[in-house]
Amino acid sequence: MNKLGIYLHTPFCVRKCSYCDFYSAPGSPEEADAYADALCAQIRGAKDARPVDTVYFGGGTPTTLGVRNLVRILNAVRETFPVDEDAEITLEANPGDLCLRPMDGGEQRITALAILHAAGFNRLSFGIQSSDAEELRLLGRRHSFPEAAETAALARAVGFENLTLDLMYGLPGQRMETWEQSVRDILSLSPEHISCYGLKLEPGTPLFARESDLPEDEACLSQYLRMIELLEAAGYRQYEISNFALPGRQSRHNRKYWCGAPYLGFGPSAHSYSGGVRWAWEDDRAAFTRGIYREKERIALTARDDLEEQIMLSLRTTAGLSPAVLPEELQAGAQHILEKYIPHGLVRRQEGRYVLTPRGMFVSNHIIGELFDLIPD
Amino acid sequence: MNQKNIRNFSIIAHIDHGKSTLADRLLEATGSVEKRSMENQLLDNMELERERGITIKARAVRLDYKADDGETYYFNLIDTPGHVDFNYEVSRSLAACEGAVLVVDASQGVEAQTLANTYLAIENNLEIVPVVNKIDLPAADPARVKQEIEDIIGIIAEDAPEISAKNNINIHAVPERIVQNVPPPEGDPDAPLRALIFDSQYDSYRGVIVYIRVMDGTLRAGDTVQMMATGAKFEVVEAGYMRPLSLEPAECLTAGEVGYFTASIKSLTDTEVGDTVTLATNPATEPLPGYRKVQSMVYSGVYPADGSRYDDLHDALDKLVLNDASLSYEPETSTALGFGFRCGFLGLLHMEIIIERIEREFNIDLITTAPSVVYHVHLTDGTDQIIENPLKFPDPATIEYAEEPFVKANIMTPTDYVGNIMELCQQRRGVFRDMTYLDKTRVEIHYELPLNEIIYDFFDALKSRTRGYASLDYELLGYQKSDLVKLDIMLNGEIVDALSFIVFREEAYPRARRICEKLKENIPRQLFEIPVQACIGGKIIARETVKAMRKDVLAKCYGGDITRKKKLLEKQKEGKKKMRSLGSVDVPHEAFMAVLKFDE
Repeated sequence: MNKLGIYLHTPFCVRKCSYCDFYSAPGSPEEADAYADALCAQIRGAKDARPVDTVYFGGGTPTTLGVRNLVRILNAVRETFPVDEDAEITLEANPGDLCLRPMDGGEQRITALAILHAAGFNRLSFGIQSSDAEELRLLGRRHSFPEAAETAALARAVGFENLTLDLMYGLPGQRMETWEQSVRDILSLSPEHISCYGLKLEPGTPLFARESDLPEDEACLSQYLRMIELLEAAGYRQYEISNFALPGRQSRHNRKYWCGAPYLGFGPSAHSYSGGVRWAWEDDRAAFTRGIYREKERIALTARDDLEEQIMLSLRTTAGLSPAVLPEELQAGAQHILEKYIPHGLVRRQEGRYVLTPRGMFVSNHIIGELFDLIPD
Repeated sequence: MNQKNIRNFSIIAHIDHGKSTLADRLLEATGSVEKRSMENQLLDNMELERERGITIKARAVRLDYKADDGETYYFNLIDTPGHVDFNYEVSRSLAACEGAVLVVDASQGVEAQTLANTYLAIENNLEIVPVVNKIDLPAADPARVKQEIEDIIGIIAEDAPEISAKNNINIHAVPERIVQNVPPPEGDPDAPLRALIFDSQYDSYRGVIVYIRVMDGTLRAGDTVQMMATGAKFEVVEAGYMRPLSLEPAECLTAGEVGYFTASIKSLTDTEVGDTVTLATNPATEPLPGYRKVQSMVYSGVYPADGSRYDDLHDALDKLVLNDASLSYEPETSTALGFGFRCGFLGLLHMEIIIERIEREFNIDLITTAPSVVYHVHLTDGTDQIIENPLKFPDPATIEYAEEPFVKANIMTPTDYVGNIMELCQQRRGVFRDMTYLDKTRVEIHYELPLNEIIYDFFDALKSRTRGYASLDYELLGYQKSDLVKLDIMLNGEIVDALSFIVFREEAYPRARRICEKLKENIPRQLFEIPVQACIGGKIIARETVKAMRKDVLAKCYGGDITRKKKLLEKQKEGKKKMRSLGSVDVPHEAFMAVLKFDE
């Protein structure tokens, strides 16, 4: 598992969604081309030449760069790093139109999808979020559910066998019925993988104004538990707080984040982690496009950081935490905390490991925080 | 020294009427302190006193004043604490004087504390020298205030000096008036020694420094003295006068003089305020009147927030008691709070001051339990128990009857608020005694109230119902029968001993409900429901539930999020430090104090 993951950031989108605080902004086709040039140059300048088994195009909306640029960037990765034959190569895409300028309409979409598939992309991620028109409008998404369903079908038609779809719960005014309907509608598209995110309102985003309409915590928990019930019944298995997959279809790229594997990020605001150091590029698209790659931060993780990350990340996944990986002096304390929650249905024991139940996942911050408190200053 | 030229006096005033500022001006006027070493309110030399603007411990100072008549007078200014908690100390300080300067704010007029202290002064046969201060304030009305002094206190105030201590207006009139109106002390320098202890202070080099007023006889270094109440004997090492910034040794202290002596005394408990000092070789037959042993009125459990600091807390109390004999403490153990101390205080202000000093000067965070008065319990087997700690309240089946202390409260207020005040007193089980109109707009109301009802937040409640205009003073009346029960609080099914208290039976229900509500508000949600229950004996009389936290999750945690999100979780830790784990429940320190605020 020590092969590299590559993350490629696209700080462009057609317009910002009402809840998004990621680094991204609209841009002209010329700007997109220039950005792709800069990104390719940054990739080619990488000193690392370890084998790569996952590549992830995230954003923003990577498809706003256009098919030609996406293929150029993937080629730059292949030319710089030995990319495994069976590497997982994911592209986040807008489910409505793919944003594949200058093309538009069904035919162009088929062509675009076919080119991407031929170029080696083998996993598509669609941010469908909801099947309810009103909720989609609220989120500022440009697509309708039928459009998204059509795009997913087209992707299947050109040969994509690995689709992941995003859903959002905990939306202002969201009712259990619309939520269940969204889950069922998503399931009807038979994706291999589903990510379900609770909406978190970020200050400064337009949706923040609707804070008072958010469902109560209890209602969010009900949505979460109901969703898990429906997904499990359909054969999906939870493997992280917000991630579910059919057997064998977990995101190989995202798992790298959670088990301490190395990854390199390219593009402004992208993070990298390798050799115990985490660093990020400056959020400055204009400077980046001019070929100025400044680091925003570089953190050498201490033993304490390592320990805390291990606790946090393992408990966020269904792999769970084995007390044996903790320093001996913390083991009894950790066990005490985790055992305490077993009768309350928040933690379960599984082959010597402690795994959070879905209810436990929903209060994971608290439990992880308690374990952090064990670590002496 | 010529006894005729000595003037022993105090300054009495309501809080904020300018007592300490006037003391500063007198120090300047007598040239006792150079301007540049003059700190504001020099006499209040504890940091806390300075901040709170109140005098906690009495201090005395000798000033030499060259009067307009050409003679030099020896002023002994004895500063007095300004709060009802310290009434006994005030009375002993006043007993050391022949006169008292009464400072009244030219806009506020006479208030309860003014009256209380003035009556104390009159009881001690002091000559009252009224002074109207703050005449430069826009709302000043010296003529009205003088009329008030005459009407309410019954002393002539027509020609009282009108001054501003703050802005140095007409200060000169004050020492002149002291010379003219305060009588010189009397007393026979050759009679057997009788000196009144009005204060004492611990010094780590000299031992206790005893502040005395010599009534009769003469005291010299080398004399063997005896304390008439405690019986302790010491050889005097040094005697002398208190100067503003130092002690000035003298050959002897003689009848009429105020000064200090040291005698390698290790503990303040040997030099109780109010005791009489005499000579072992030629003792006086009768001690001076008025001595009583200092009694704690309010008790509270005091615990270090961080249990590992118990020893530090012990040291802090050991050090504080050196300078404050009215503080008492003994070790106490609570299942909820661990090791701590049961501390006795003169009153709630005294308690607040001690707690704040420990937290500030010794840097120890504390948790205190509900302050409790001392109850008397008579058991069916004929024995009596004195209960300072609710946990020791006996099994109700064994109690014949119980008694609680009552006070006579004297409240002065503008007439507009009489209704509000009576309602408050009624709520607090007050029994109306009488009401006197001081003038057209102000009344003085007397109530008998259980001490227990006023130690928590009565003063705050009074202030909030009278927009701050009412003032309060009280004195202990004695014990009366009362129907008392012990109320226990359970968190998650377990009794939290630190939250138990004794309450009048009829109030148990409403109070139990309020406490459960308060705890519910103050206990943060945890991952499971926490029942908060109040019970008497085994019977639950109130219940609230702290709902479980259902959602505390970060939905996304990918490459860029890890460092940031980990930091977020680490932040919980700071909040945690201010919590106490009681069994499986985390209770913030504030929750222990919050349950004491009833009036909301």
